Amino acid sequence: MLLTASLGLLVGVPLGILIHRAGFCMHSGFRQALRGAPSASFLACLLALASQMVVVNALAESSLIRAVPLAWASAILVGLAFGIGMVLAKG
Amino acid sequence: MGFAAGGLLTERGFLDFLVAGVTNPISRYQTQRAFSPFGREIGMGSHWDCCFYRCFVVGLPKPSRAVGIWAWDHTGLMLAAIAVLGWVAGAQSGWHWGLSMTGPSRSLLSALLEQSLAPLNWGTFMILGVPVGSFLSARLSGTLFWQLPDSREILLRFLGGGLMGFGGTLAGGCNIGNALTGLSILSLHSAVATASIVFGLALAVRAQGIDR
Repeated sequence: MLLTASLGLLVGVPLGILIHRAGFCMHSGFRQALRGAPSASFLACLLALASQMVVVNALAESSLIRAVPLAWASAILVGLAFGIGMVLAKG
Repeated sequence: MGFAAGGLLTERGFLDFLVAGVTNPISRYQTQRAFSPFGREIGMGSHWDCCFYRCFVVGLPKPSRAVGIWAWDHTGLMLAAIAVLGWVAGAQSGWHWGLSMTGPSRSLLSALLEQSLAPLNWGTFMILGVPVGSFLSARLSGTLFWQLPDSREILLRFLGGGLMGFGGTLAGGCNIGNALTGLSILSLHSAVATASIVFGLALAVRAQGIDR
């Protein structure tokens, strides 16, 4: 438990610092992108996604992850609900 | 709070019948591994790369070098480093997914409700670290202040959080778990969920007025 906690905080704390210092917000990022002006958060998110994609796929050989089955209905329908929730909660 | 409550109600509360009904997988990968490098198994790699390049790499705004706030390239690379660290650190504790918010919020609330350590996992400690990091950062930079939105806004945020918890639980992840983590391993599920999240966001923004 102690190891899990330290490893979790090792990632969570820097993430919190980043969110504060960079003003990183996916809600406003997506929102401004919809308006046609890619915001800093949106671009940062894309860059992070692209870089993570390369590195994590490169690390795949060490079998870090497991299969995720596709559930269409949940991905489509509740994705919608989530997006609406994001706007209401501003998060 | 709303987020975690919505998630927990959906997972175990009165909405739990939806979990069995809606999250029934319609296709399973043949192999145990979720992906082959660069999406070969879903045949999307080259097409995506091309779209990505055309839409976003050509004509990108120059990163702002203003003092005080990080430029987007800086943020993006840092976020990627943290996300990769999430994969690696998580795997050491049996967490085979990168950054995520929905599952951990649920497990945090259920640990509190059950007064048990059993639901705690790597993700729970990760999300506990986020407010700690933000607090420390705000404190150190002298930008820390407390604020409370008006009562109508609090209600809306709680409602929105509940909807996010509900959606995030059934869609198998939120904007972080799907759009950032799931897409990075080219999970088709995450691609569909992300598109749907953005569509839901667009719907709500349209209903609210875009400049609000």
